[in-house]
Amino acid sequence: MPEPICESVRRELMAGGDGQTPSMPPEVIDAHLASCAECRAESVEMERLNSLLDSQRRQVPTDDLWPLIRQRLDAEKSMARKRAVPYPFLLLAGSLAVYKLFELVPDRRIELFFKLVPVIIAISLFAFLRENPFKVNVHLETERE
Amino acid sequence: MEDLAAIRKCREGDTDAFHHLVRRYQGQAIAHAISILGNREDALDAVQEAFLNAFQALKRFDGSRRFYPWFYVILRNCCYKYAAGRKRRETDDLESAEILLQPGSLSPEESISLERTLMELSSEERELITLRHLDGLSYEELAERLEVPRGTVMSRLYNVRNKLRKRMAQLNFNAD
Repeated sequence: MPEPICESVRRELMAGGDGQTPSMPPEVIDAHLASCAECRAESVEMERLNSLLDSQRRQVPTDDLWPLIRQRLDAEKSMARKRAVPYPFLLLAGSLAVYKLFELVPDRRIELFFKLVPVIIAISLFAFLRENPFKVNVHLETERE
Repeated sequence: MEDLAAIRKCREGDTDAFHHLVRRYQGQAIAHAISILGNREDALDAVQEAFLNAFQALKRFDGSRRFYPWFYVILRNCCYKYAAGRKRRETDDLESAEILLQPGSLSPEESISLERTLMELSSEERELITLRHLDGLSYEELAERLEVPRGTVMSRLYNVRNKLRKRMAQLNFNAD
C-alpha cells in the first residue's frame, strides 16, 4: 500500500470525527500521525473548531408568514378562476349583442324585467369573477409567471 | 394534524390546511434561508416564495418522504435565485447577528466574531457548515438536502472547515 499523504489522512480524520467509517485502516492513520507533527497539530485544531461549532445553536425566528402567504394563495386562486373563464368580457359582449338582437324583433312587448337583463348579466359576471368594477388598483401588479 | 393529512387536504384545494405546514416549518425555514442569504429581509421573501411554490408542487409530493427535506430543496432553489438576483450586501450590521442563538456558549464578542467569520464564507459554504454543525445532519442527509453525492459533501466539508480553521487562527480565536 502506498504511503498515505497528509491530506488523505486529514480527510479520514475528519470523516471519523463525523461518525463515518474510515476507509483507511486505523493503524495506518495512527502511524502517520505519530510521524507527522503538522497533521497532529491540524487534527487538534480541527477538533477544537468542530467542538466550538457543535456547541452553537441556531437562532429560530418567530415571524409569522401565514397572513402574507394566505393573501398570495387567495390572489393566485382568484387569478386561476379568471384564467378558467376564457375571455369573460367577450362573453359579456356576446350576451349583450344577443340581447340587442332579441330586442330588435318587431311587435314584441318589452317588459321591465326584460329591460334589466343586460344589467343582470353584467353584475352576474363581475360577481362570478369576484371583481369590483369600480376598484382603483393603486398597486400595479403584473401577473406572475 | 399530521403533515400527510394536511398535504392531502391541500391537494384537494384546501388552502387553510396549508397553515399547518407553514406554522410548523416557517421558523426553521427562515433560519435556513438566513444561513444561505445572510440577510433577514431576503430570507423572509425567499421563504414566502418557497411556500407558495411548495403549495403548487404538493401534487408531486411523494407521501413516503418527510415534508421538510422535500421542502428544503424548493427553499434553497428560491434562496439561490434571490442570491443571484441581488448584489452582495455588505455585512456591516453584525451586532444584530442572526444565525447563532445568543447568548450561547460564547461571550457576545466571541459570538459576533464567529458569526462574522461565518458571514465571510460563500452562501454554499455557510449552508453546508451550518447544516452539519447547527442541525447535526449526517453526510447522507446533507447529500439529500444539497442534491450532491456523499463524496462531494465530504470534500466540500473538508475544504470549508479548513478555510474556517485558518480564518479563526488569523483572528486568534480561542474558544477553549
